[in-house]
Amino acid sequence: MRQKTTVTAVLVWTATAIFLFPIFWIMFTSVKTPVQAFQIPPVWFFRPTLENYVAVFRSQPFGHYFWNSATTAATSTIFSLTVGTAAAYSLARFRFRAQKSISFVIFLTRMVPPVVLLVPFFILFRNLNWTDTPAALAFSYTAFNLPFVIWLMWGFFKEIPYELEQAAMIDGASAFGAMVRITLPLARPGLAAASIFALMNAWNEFLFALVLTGPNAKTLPVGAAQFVTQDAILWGPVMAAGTMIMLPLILFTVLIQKHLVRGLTMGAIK
Amino acid sequence: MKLSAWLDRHMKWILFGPAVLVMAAIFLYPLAYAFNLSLHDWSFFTLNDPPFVGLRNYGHALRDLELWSALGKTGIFVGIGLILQFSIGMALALGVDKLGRQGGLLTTLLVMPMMVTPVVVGLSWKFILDYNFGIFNYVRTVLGLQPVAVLSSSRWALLTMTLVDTWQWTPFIFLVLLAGLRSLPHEPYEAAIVDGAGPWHIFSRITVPLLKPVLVVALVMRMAGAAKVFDHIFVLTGGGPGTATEVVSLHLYRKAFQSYEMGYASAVALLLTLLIALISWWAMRTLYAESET
Repeated sequence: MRQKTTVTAVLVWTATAIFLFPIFWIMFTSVKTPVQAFQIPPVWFFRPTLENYVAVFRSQPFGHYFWNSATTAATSTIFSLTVGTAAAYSLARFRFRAQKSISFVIFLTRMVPPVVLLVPFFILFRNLNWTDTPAALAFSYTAFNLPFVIWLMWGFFKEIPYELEQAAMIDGASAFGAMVRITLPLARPGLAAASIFALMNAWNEFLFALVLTGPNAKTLPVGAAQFVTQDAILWGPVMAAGTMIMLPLILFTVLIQKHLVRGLTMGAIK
Repeated sequence: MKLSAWLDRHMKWILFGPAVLVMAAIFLYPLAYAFNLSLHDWSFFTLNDPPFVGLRNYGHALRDLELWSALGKTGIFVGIGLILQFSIGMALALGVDKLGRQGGLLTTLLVMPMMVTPVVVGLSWKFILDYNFGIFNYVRTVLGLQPVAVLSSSRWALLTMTLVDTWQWTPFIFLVLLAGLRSLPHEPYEAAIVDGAGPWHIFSRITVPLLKPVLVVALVMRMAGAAKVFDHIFVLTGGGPGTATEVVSLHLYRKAFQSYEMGYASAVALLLTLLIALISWWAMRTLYAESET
């Protein structure tokens, strides 16, 4: 039995190492000098340098993209979270005749390929003169984040017993007061999961940003993809840019692992 | 009447109303707009006054060989990807579930690929697979094999895309299945062990049937996700070589934003939505019904 566990452990750890290798390789290459990044056989021992990071900020307005990514993601997240949490609470507490259809519609929004909305957004924003603004991008991310937040928070609210609020109301609290003071604090893990996912979706999104932004509202993924269109790809700076884009999310993963499972398995497990 | 009493009385719609309005404005309206577009010949030359063409775009879509080929490639991509992701994900979930205390650390580590920005995933694999400077071909030469330019080989490119997708999304399947495994009851297992059932028997007769609802939902979500794949392929091959990796979403992107055939692209996008919705509805239906009997 003990032997069998060891074999399992070795296999699983090997698989994990393989899965982590590309992430390691991005970061490892990013601290080589631009010349070392190209060397084959690969250089394994060297003095780490930040040259590539400096190069990224020199060759592109990366700070500007960073700002755009952060504000777009934050705006869309705050908006979806406010509107979505309210709706989810209402769904969980009150009787809706169309409950089944509502949950089916939310399910459908997950199935709709983004391109379906992208074409009308492109034309509508152009007509409104909204193209290449962070607001327009945040607006379009909300289309996908909002149903997600509603779904996730709905599940959380359903599990918080109504009796707690009723007790508060007997003590004289209004229904709104009971929601704000009793249920919302209890739903904090759900709010954490929902906000992280909304942030992540917006931070990583590429297709909408590619089509709907220009030099003004461009986000990090589009900035990073631009490196590829150049004739010779400078792998050092590309990997430095990649590290900077993915690192915040990876740190997040480590910090909030417990909530992640909940958000990702949304609906799959009760 | 006092304000707070009025608020409480209408609480249901005060809370639910804004979401309905927002969804109508940013989801339903654009969807209706897309449908309207799909009935017009909206192209670069007819910007201001696109003529109404009825269902012609839909007919055109059904006869478009490039679209069928893109659908075929998407099918291969999704099919092979799902088989790989589910088998590796299941193996990892079973393994980690057995390992007890190391499981937490392993889960944290294994989840990471899923968090990496897809564009960065594309870039990193482009570097790893690079013909001249990539470590993949370096390892091949060390092993005495010929280097291969996988990204520009029409034979290997699509399979490579599948593997990159598998790299990023197996962790998702792993995570869902692990959570599912941990929520299973103990009694059937104890009974089976008492009856002297072997590990394979336990897996196929107890674990898989009990996990079925979880498996179905994971399958549907991942299928819809894989059918939308864009970022990886855009960065890695841009649909090439030729059209070897031009899956549906890239085909649509090209039609809509490079040749500006917006009406046609909308028609295809709506057909695609219908197809994905039907497949997931069917999958949920049949598989759920089966597990209930």
